[in-house]
Amino acid sequence: MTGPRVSGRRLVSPRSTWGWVAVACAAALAAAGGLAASGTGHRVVFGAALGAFAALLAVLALPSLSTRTTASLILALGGVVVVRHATRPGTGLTLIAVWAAATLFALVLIDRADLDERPRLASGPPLPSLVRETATSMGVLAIAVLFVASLFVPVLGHRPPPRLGSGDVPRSDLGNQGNTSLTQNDQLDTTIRPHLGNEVVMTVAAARPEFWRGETFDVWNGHAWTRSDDNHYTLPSLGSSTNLAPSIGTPTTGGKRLTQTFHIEASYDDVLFAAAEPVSVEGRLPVERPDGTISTFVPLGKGSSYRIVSNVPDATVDTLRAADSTAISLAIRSMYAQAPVSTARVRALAARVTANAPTTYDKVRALEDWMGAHTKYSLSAPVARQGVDVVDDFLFNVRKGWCEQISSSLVVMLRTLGIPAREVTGFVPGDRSKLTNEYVVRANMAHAWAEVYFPGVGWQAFDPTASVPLAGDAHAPQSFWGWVGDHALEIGGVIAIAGALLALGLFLRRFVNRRRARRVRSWAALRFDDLERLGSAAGRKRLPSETAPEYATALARVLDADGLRAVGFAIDADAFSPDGIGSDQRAAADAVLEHVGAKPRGS
Amino acid sequence: MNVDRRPPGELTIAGLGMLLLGVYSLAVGAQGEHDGLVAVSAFAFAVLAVGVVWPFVSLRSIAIDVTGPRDATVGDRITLELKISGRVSRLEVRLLDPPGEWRRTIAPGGGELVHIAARRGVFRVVRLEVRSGGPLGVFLRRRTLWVRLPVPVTVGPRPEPVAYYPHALPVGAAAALASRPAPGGDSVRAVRPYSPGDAARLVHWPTTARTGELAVRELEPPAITGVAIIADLRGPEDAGERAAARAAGLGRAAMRSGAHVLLLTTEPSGPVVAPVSSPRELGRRLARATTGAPPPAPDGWPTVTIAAT
Repeated sequence: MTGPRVSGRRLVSPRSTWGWVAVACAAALAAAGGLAASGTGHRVVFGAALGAFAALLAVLALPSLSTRTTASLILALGGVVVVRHATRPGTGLTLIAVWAAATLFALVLIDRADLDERPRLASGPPLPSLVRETATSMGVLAIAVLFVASLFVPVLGHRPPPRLGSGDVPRSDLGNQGNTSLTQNDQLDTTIRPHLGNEVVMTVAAARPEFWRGETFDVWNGHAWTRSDDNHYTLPSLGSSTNLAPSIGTPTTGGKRLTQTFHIEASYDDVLFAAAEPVSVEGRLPVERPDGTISTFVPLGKGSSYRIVSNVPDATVDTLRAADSTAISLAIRSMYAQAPVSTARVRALAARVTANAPTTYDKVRALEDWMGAHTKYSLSAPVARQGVDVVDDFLFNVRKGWCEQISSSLVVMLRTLGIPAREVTGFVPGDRSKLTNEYVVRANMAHAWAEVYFPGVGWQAFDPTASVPLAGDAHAPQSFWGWVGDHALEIGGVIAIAGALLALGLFLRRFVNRRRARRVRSWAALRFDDLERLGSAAGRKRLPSETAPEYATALARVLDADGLRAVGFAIDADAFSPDGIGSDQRAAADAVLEHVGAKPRGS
Repeated sequence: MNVDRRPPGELTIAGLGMLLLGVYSLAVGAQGEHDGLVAVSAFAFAVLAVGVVWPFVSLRSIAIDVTGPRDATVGDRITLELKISGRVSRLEVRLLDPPGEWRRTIAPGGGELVHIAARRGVFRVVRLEVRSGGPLGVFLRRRTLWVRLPVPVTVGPRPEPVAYYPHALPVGAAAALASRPAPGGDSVRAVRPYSPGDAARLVHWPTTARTGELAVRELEPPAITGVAIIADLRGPEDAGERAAARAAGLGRAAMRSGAHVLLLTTEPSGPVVAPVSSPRELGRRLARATTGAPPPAPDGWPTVTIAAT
C-alpha cells in the first residue's frame, strides 16, 4: 500500500478494496443520516450527505484506528442512528432497507479487504476477482439473510394479543393530560392550539382503516363546540358483550360490519373510540350518549383493551346524492340543522359556493373544494382573538388553521344551508404495521372532522382538512405500488423462499450431475478394464507400473495376439489426446478384443 | 490424543456490533409497534446467524493433503506443499508447532508453506490451522487439522562444530569394515619388478636406472581410522538436543577426515548400533534417537560418549 504514513496506519488509498469499503460505509451512513434527517424534520438529502461525508472521512483518513475497526464502528454508528430514528413517525422501510443492503455490502467488502492485506500462500491461486466474488456473495447472502430475517420477524415482532379489559391502573397525571381526545370533554374550544406528542396512544386491530370517532358536538357559539344533549345512559350487559342502542339518525339496515380491537397504550383514557356506528362493545361496560358515541365510567389504563363491532355506512356517491329524496326526521333537523352562530358573510359565502350544487353531497364537496383552494392547513396559524367569530376569521382573514377550524367552518357553513352536520373529534386510522397488521395511532394523530347526515344512509364523515374517501369508496381497488408497499414483507419472504428453493434445486442438480459423471466411465477406462480382465484370465496380471501399451504388448506375447498392441496404443491415445480417437479406431480395437475373447463392455 | 480446547471461533468487532444492535433494537422496540425496529433487529440477527453458520459449514468440507521433504535439519526452512480440497472462497491457513504466519488462499487450491524445522525428530503428522470469517466477517471460525504426511519428515540436529582427532581402528575391526581393497598409503614397503597393469606413477626410477629393468614400489596400506559415537541423550531436554547436535558435528567431522563412524543410539524400537556412511544417514539416525540408555561400545573401537549434561 502506498501513501503517507500518519501516526499508526497509512491513509487508505481510494483505489484499494478499502476504497470500496469506504463507499459502502458511506452508503450505509447516508441511509442512516437520511433517516435521522427525515425523523427530525430536516431534508433527507442533507442528512444523507452528512452521513456519507463523515463515513468517507473516517474510513479513508482516520489514522488512529485500524481501517477494519473504523469501518465496523461506522457501521455500528449507522445502526444506532437507524434504531434511534426508526421509531419516529413517517419512517419508511425504504431507507432502512437501503441501510441494511449497504451494511451487508460493507461487511462483505471489509472481510475481503482485510483478507487482501494478508500474504498469499506461496504458489497458491489468487483470490477470485473482487467484483465477481462480491457480486456472487451479495446475491447469495441477500437471499440467505432475507430468508433468515423473514423467519425472525414473526418471533421478534410478535406481541401477545391483548386480553380484553386488562390493563394498568389509569393515571391521568402522566403523559397525556394535554391530549384532550383521550378524555371526555364538554366542549371543544377551537381557540386553543393543540400540543400533541409522538407517543403511541393505542393500536387498533381492524380489517380496514376508519376514522376512530370519539365525541361529537352540535352547538357552536362562535369559538367553541358543545353538546345540546349531554345525557349519558348505561346499557344492560348481556354476557361479555354489550349491545348499544341505535343512536339518533342511525339507519337500522345496510352498512358493513367492522370489528375493531383497541389496545390502549396511553396512561389514561375514558373515551371508547369506534368506527361509526358502533353496535356492540366487549371488554368494558360502555356509557352511551344520544349521538352514538361511547365512553366509560371506569377509565382505562395502559394495556387495557376493548372490542367494538361497528356498522359502517356503506355509502357511495350515488347513494349520497339519492339521499336527498328522503325526508329528514324532525329530531335530526331540530338537533343538527339549526343555524349556528355565524356572520352574514359566512352565510353568504356558503350560499354562493353551493349555488350550483344540486344535492347535499355536491354542496359538501363544493364547500370542501372552496376551502381546499382558498385556505391552508397550519398548526402555527394565529389564534382568533377573544370575541371574534373563529369561522369568519378563518374564512375571510387568516385563511390558515388546523383541523378544528377547517372542519368547524364546513359544519357551520352546512348548517347555515340547513344541512344537518356536526363536529367530530377522534383519531385518524394511524399507520398500519406491516408486521402485526394493526393500526398504530399516535397522540399527534388526533383529529377533528365533520359528519353530515344523509337520510337513509346515516352520518357520513367528511374531512375537509385532507381528502378522505367516502366509506363506500374506501374499498376501491388499490394501486399496484400501494399493494406492493403493504405486502413488502410477504413479497420478500416469498422471494427469499423461492430463492432458497432455486438454490437448493441448483445444488441438487449439480450434485446429481456430479454423481452421474462419476458413474459414466470413458471408453479408454472400460477397455483398460477389459484388458486387465483378459490378462487375469490368462494368468498375467498387470504390474502396477505398466501402462496400457506396455501391458497390451505383454498380453500380445502371452496370448499370441499381435493386434492387442494396437489396442494398448488406442487406449493410451483415447485417454490422453485432447480429442480422443475416432469411432472407427474404437470399433477396430473393440473387434480385436472381441476376437481374443475379451467381450468388450459398454460398446 | 490432543484436544483443542480453544473455542471453535470468535465474534469479530462487526459481529459483536451486530449482536448489540440486534439486542438494542429489540429492547427499544419491545412493544412491537415499530416495524422499523423489528426489521433492524431481524436484519441484525439474520446477519449474525448467516455469518456464524456460513464459516462453520464451509470449513467443514475442508481437507488438506501435505507433502514435504524427507530430510531436514533443525533450523532449516522447509517447504511443505499443500493441496486443499473443499469449497471456500476466503480462507486462511497456517502451520502450528510453532505457529506460523497466516496465509490467504481459496479452496479448492493449494500452494506452499515455508516452515522452520524447530526441533529434532521424525514428523509423520503436521498440525495446520485454518480459519475463515467469510463472507460477512462477523464470526471467525477456526479449525485445527492433523494431517498425516505420506512420507515423514526427518529433522536431524544442526551439527555443532566439534574437533575430531583420528584414531586407527584395530586390525580386527578394520578388517570387518574393509569390504573393498584399501587404496595405497604413502609408505614404501618394498620394490619389485614391474608387472603389466602396474600404475606408471609407481615406477621406482632409481632402481630401474640401476638395474636397467622396470621396477615399481609396493606401498603400505593406509591406517583405517574410525570412531564409535555414543549419543546418550538422557537428561534435560535442552541438554539432550545439544548432545545430539554435538554428536552430529563429531560424526560429520570424522566422515570428512575419512574415518568410519559407528553410531550408538537408542531409538523407539530399542538400542541401535550401526555404522553411518553419510551426513544424511547420520542426521536420520540422530533424528530418531530418543532418551533411552545407549548400548555399550563394541570392543576395539575408539569411543566418544556424548552425554546430555
